[in-house]
Order: sequence, then C-alpha cells, then structure tokens
Amino acid sequence: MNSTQNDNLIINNVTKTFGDFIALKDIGLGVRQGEFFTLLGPSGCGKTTLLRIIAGLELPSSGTVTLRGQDITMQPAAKRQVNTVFQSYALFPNLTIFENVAFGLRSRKFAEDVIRKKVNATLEMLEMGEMQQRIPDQLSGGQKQRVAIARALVNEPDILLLDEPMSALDAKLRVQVQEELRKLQRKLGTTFIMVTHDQSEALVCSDRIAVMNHGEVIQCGTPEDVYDYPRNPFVARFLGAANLFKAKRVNGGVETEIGTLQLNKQPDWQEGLIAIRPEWIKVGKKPAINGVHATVQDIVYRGTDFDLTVTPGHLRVRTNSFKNFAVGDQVWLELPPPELVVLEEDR
Amino acid sequence: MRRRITPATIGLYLLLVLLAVAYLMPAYLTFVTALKFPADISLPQSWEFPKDVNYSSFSEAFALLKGNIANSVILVVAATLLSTVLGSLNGYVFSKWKFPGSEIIFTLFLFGMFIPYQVILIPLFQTLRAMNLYGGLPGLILAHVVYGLPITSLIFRNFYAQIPDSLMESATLDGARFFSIYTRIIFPLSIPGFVVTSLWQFTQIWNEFLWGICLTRHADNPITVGLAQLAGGQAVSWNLPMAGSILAALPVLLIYIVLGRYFIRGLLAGSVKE
Repeated sequence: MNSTQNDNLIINNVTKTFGDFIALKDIGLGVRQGEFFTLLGPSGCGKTTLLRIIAGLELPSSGTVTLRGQDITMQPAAKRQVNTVFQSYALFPNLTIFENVAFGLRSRKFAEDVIRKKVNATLEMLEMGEMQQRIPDQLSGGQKQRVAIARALVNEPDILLLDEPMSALDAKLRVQVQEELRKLQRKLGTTFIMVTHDQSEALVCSDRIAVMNHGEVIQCGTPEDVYDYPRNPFVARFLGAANLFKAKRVNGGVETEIGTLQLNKQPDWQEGLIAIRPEWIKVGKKPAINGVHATVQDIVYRGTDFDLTVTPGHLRVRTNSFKNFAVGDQVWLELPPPELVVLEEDR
Repeated sequence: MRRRITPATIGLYLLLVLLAVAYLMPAYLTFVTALKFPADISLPQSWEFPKDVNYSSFSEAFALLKGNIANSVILVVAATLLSTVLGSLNGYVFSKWKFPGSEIIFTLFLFGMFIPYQVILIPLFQTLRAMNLYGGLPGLILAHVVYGLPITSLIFRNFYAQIPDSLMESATLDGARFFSIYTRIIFPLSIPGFVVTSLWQFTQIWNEFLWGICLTRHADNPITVGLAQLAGGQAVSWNLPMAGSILAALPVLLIYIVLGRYFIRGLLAGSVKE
C-alpha cells in the first residue's frame, strides 16, 4: 500500500477485470494535494484504466476511490472534482476555442458574464487568448493541447488527469511542453495525475512516479528513487539503461561474472540480480574499489556523452571522457558500492 | 500526357455512346411527345420532333396534377424530416449509448430494409385502418417514416461511429447529458449525414407508387398515383402524361444535381477506417 493519511486521493485495493482479463490487481496508491503524480508503464499495463477509474469513466470491479476523505467510487464522472485531458484532446470540432472551453461551464448553467470571465482568464493563462474565435482545426498540435488543458482547468478541478498528453506532439515540442506542464502545475498548485509510457517525460515532470506493469504498481517513489534504486529488473530496464548481472551471495558481497563486488546493502537472497546504471560506473586507468579490469569493445557517440561497451560482462558504461579511450583500450572500471542496487525478483 | 487512341478505346466509347443513347431514348420520347399537340401524336411519327411546339402541355399537366404535387410535397417533407431526425437519434443511441442487447436490436432493425413493400402491404393496411389512419396523408407519412428508419438509422450509426468516443466522454465529464450532447455536438457534426439520408428518403418517397395508391383515397393521392391516372383513361392525350412525368421527375433530378456529390461521400462514411 503506497498511501498515507495525508493523501488527497486514495486508491484502495482497486481491482478491475474485463471478462477473464485482469486489468488492475489490488492497486493501493495515495496522491498528495498539489503533487505532480505520474503513472508510468508500458502499453497494456493498466495505467489508463486506473486513470479512467479515477475520472469516473470506469467502475472498479472491487476497491474504493476516496477524494478528500469522501468515497467517490460510485459518484458519476460529472459530479467529481476531477477533470481529464484526453490523449486525443477531444476538442469539439464544431465549436470555437472559446465555446470549447466554456462547454463545461454552460452545462453547469453558469451566468454568461461569469463564463466570459473564467474562460478569458484561463485562455490568457495558457497564452491562448488570441485564438478564442478559431476552431480546433485551425490550431497546431501544441495549441490544441493547451485548449484541452484550458477546458479541463476552467472547471477548477481538485485533480487534473492527463492521459498521455504529449503523445501527439513531435519530439522537440514535447520537451518544451514537459517544462510548461511542470511550471503550470507549480503555479496552480492543482494535483496533476499523468499517464505516460515515456520514462523521460515521467522523470522530468513528476514529483512522484508509480511504475506499473501487468496491472500492478511495481514501485512508487520520487523520480530519483525509482531511477537510482529500481526495485526489480523490470523497473531497472524500463527506466533508462541498466547493467544487470546475476549474482551469488558470498561473504562481504556478491560473486558475479565480472568478479566479487562489495555492496552497501546485503541481499536477502542467495542468488539473484544486481544492477548499476551506465553513468555510475567510473572509468579510470588504475584499480579502485569494486575494480574490474576491462577492454573497450565499442564506442557510441550520443551527443552529450559516449556509451562504451566493455568486456567482461558486456557492460555498458556512459562517460563524457571519450577522448581518453579507443576501441581495444584496457581500462579499470569502478562500480561504487552505493550505486550497486540489489533487485528483487520480477513479479 | 495525351492518351493514345487505340481501336479498343474507340470500341469502348462507341459502346458507351450506344448505351447512353439506349438509356436516353425513353427520355427523348417523353420530351418530344410532351411538346406535341395531341393530334400530332401517332406511332409512325413518335420519334419526330414536333413542327409546332406545344408548350401548354406542361401548364395543363400541372393544372391536373396540382393537388397530387401538393400531397407529395407534404408527404415527402414530413416523412423525410421525421425519418431522418428519428434515424439520427437511433444512430446516436446505437453507436454512442450502446446498452445490453443493442446490437441484436439493431440487427433486427436492419431486417426492415430487406422486406419488399408488397409483402407488408396487407398488414400495413390493416394496421393503419385500426389506427384510423387509413386513406389520408398522415397514415402514408407514418408508413414511410417507419419504413425509412432502418436505412436512416444505419447511415447515421455508421456516420457517428467516426466521431471519437472521447468526445462523448469529454462532454459527459463536463456535465452534458444525452440530449445536450446531441444538440450541441452530435447534431451540428451530422449535417452531411442529414444530406445523405434526406436525399435518399426524398427520392424513395417521392417515387413510391404502391403504398400511395393502396393507402390513400383519391384526394390524398401522391404525384405517382396522379400520373398513372392521367395516363389511365380511354382516350389519352399522351402529351399530358409525358409532360406530367417530366414535372414529376424534376424535383428529384434537381436535388441530385445540387446535392449529388454529398451522396456518395456520405454513404461511404464509416465504411473505411481512418
């Protein structure tokens, strides 16, 4: 269970099945007020189903959802203080941008002058004030996304749900939008819950990330936590590159194919896996702690740094000091004990 | 690039011209006969263009068919309007508000399209009589509305299948309900669907004869029945039914010329995934 009493939204033992297929298995999560929370996982892991349950677009097969202490499991979607930005943006093609944003307010029978004020303020905040009279087809992908966000925010929800909000944007715009989303969330203080399969998006935007696979939350924590200390091989591989080795517990550490390594934390298994990120491996000319004598097999230029592939162990090492090395070079690798992560078995 | 003219192309075009002439022959015959005086109409001269043109056939035919044309206009407008609006609502439910068993009901609905008019004529007559609707236009309108529903529902259902469900969900989240989603989002997006179904219904109902003659009394006969009566006497002035036929065909022709391009586009809606 990843929730505490301070949480604004609590997902309690939620299970969802579609026929024989189990989409969500006993999910327990808590999301704090004002945090940017991300559900991260490969497609089909159940993250969107969970988002739809929070939105009220699906009912859980069992379990409850509470918002500010109130059970909203059976509450209709429109009554929840939760709004969704859809992956496709779902803008109404026949309405102007102004009317798109005003849609929810009109449904809730707000007065015309209130509608005008709120819509203008929201569009201004998202720098879309000048686009009011256009129709969605006349906007770019990034602009459509802002309108979709404006349409959700104008209703002043407690929680804004974002379903793969950047999947329709090109790579460059995506980076820009990630930062904008983060800024917007900080400025508003609204709780954002985002669903994505893109680990870099999750790492950049989130205060906390829940990594999901096969309908379960595998690990939940800050981006640093889940990236630096992956819980199991799935998380280690899903979030960026990782070197994984089989290890056998011995006195004072573990024995692996690249030698005996010291660890800061002793594993609770006899045989298992340990991991280290390529950028944590130091490359030098002299032996050091957990030193491994290796040969450079391949060098890949990545723009900001270089990936070396070395033997033994077919290790991947990320370094910015490429100039010191060439294919065939003999080097000493240092695998610092704090960076060596003991993994649990995959679930 | 210029296309090369080969014997095969010449043959093909020759065939096309022949077929076109064959298809246009009745239309030509109708047209020239309508322009003749009754005395000039005879079998040996039937293909000849009249020496003295008689334009009054059209005004005379119109005078005789006035009542029937008025009946047909009322019938077509009312039945088309009702069957398209109801078909649109059906399509909306069958595509966006599916309920357990809705697919079965929809399939049963579609059976209606494949039942010939003749088959249900007697039950229809009995039903209308039981409802006190036999003999007048309202009964005929009802029959055409009900009989038009399968095709209009099908066209609208396919049309609405193209509208993403997320649009519906988004509107639902914003507090809109069944009818407000329909009036604010679905209806404005379905104008091409309305063009197609209206065109279809207009043509079907305007050209329908059997129910028109069986289900209405003389004063409420539609144009097709009036036309048959014009040609049905002992000594027929053939220029009048011919002119009448042209008058009767005009509305449908005009509508196809103006709106025809929407027709194929709309019929194909939903059949191809984007």
